[in-house]
Amino acid sequence: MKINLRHIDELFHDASHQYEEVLPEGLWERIDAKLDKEKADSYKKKHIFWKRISVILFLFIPGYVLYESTVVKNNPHQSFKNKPQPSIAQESQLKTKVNNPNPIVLLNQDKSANLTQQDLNHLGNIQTGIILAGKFIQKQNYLRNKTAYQQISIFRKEAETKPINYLYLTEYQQNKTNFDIDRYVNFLNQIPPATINEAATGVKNQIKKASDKIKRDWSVTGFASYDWSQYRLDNDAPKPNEDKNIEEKETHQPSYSLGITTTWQFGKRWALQSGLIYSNTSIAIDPKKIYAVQQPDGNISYKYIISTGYAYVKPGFVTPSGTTNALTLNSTAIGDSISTANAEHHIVYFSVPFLIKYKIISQKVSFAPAAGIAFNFLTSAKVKTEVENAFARESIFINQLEGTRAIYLSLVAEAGLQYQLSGNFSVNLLPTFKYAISPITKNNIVKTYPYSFGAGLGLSYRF
Amino acid sequence: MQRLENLADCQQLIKKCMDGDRISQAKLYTLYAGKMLGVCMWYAKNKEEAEEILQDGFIRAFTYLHKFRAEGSFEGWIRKIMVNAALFKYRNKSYLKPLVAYSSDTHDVAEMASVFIQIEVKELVKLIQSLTPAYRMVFNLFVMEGMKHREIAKILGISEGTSKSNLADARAALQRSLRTKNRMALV
Repeated sequence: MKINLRHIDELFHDASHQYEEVLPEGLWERIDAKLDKEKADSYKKKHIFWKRISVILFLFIPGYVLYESTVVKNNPHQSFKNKPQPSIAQESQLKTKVNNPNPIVLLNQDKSANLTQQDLNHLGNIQTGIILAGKFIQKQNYLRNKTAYQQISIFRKEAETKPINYLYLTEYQQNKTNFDIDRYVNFLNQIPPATINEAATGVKNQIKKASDKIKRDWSVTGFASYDWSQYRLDNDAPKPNEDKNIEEKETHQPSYSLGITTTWQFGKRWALQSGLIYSNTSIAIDPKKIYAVQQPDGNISYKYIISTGYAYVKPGFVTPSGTTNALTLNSTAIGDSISTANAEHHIVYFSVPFLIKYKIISQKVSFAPAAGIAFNFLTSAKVKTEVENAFARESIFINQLEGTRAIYLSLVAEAGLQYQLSGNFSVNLLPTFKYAISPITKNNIVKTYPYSFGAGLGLSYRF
Repeated sequence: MQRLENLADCQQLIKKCMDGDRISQAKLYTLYAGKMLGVCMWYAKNKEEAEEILQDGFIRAFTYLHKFRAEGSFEGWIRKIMVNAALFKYRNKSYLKPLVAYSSDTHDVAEMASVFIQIEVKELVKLIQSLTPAYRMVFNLFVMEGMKHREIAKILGISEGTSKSNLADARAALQRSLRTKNRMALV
């Protein structure tokens, strides 16, 4: 290039826009590997939000449960703000009954008088109180006297089907025709006052018990489960039989889960459940041959591929070089192979399930099928094996697998059976089925979708 | 080298790259890497550093590809990315300290006689690389990228006077080197 020193700016400018440099080898591979890393980092960052939410929920829910239970104990009426109305109505009726201990006198006095609407409402409340008392008496068998018991039963049935205030109003307005008020008075007279008081107390207790039952919305369950795990492999890799090779070499071992879940009952039968579950899956891997490949960073190592990911292994002993057929210390050529011994693979996840539950209660036993999804966060994936050639053997510990996703989603179905041990405690049998709906692998030669059946045993505490 | 002058092809390739299609990204790399490594060579002190800048530049380009608007050429856009990657690298290394204060009587190129010498582009690159980082940056941004001293001062965090001074010194240093080369060639 001919340069005029007076105009070096223009000439440097022109030169810079023409100049091209020869590309070195391996530069794209380095960019490719860095892009993979960036993608993995962004993926981790993306899901860190959900991890944080899970932790917050896990910490918040037990705290809220404790707060709720404390508030309910200290101020029972506060917890009734959003509760169904019948319990409040029942309480009001009971109060009316208790505040007017002598309804029979009132009825006798008023039977020939013009009753106002207020009076009639009052009589209606009395009637309801008597019905409740009657129910209680029948159930508890307080009345040993057979006749009185029968009379109470008849009265209760009639009173239930024909409200006294309605009958009284209509019949009284029609010149008292066909309305036998005396018959009702007779029935009421059959009930000894002491029994009515006792019945009223019983009813009050029953109402309290029912209220307490509504209050007990929250429960916490700790459980341990024995799991039978399997996986489904999808293969969109160039080697069509790779999934079969992996499947043949790997055997799932009995695995286990431990967890704590919180259930919030928001209806008579419906409940939501969440929590934190630790699961450890074990896989035994048969001996196999692994081959040397070039890593993204340019180094050559043996690639150990399994269903949940892969790892690059570089043993320290002498390996045969495929290019020279000679033994060269620590030099490995692409295509070289070594054998691995039996391997143990453990993969650990923390799961956060979100389930909706339906409860069918019968006395002390309840059946609660539930279904939902679970977010599963990978905690560790380890492989322990040995590699060997004709001259040496070396133990290999792989503490981090590549090609494994940090999070996957699974569907969860549960059919819990619960037996009430005491007021607060119950024991649970928890058969569970989990099925992954997103693969646990990425950039591996197979896409792996694990599923498992679990048989769990747990203990619940209801607040 | 084949370039993506056809807008439709360019947009299609860019879209695939944005979707994370590695084959398309490799294609884009093949199309522009040679030219861009040439750009990085002017800003680096050697080829290894230029490769690092190129690597960072392509990572940034693939990350921010969605911000490319087809208002200018793609080559111009990716060139800016490379220059920014080079600037980022130098800012991190704190190379850019003012070397001399500005004085108006520094070397004036315009007053020099016309002297013609014969030299290869590679040698020009080496001359630029032999400059101190501060001189190299100011000279490149002024001459290659056509920036004004005000802009250079803002980007590099120096005063306008320092920018002018560094440019003048860089020019003088380059002229001296070129003259020396010319004399040696004549001998």
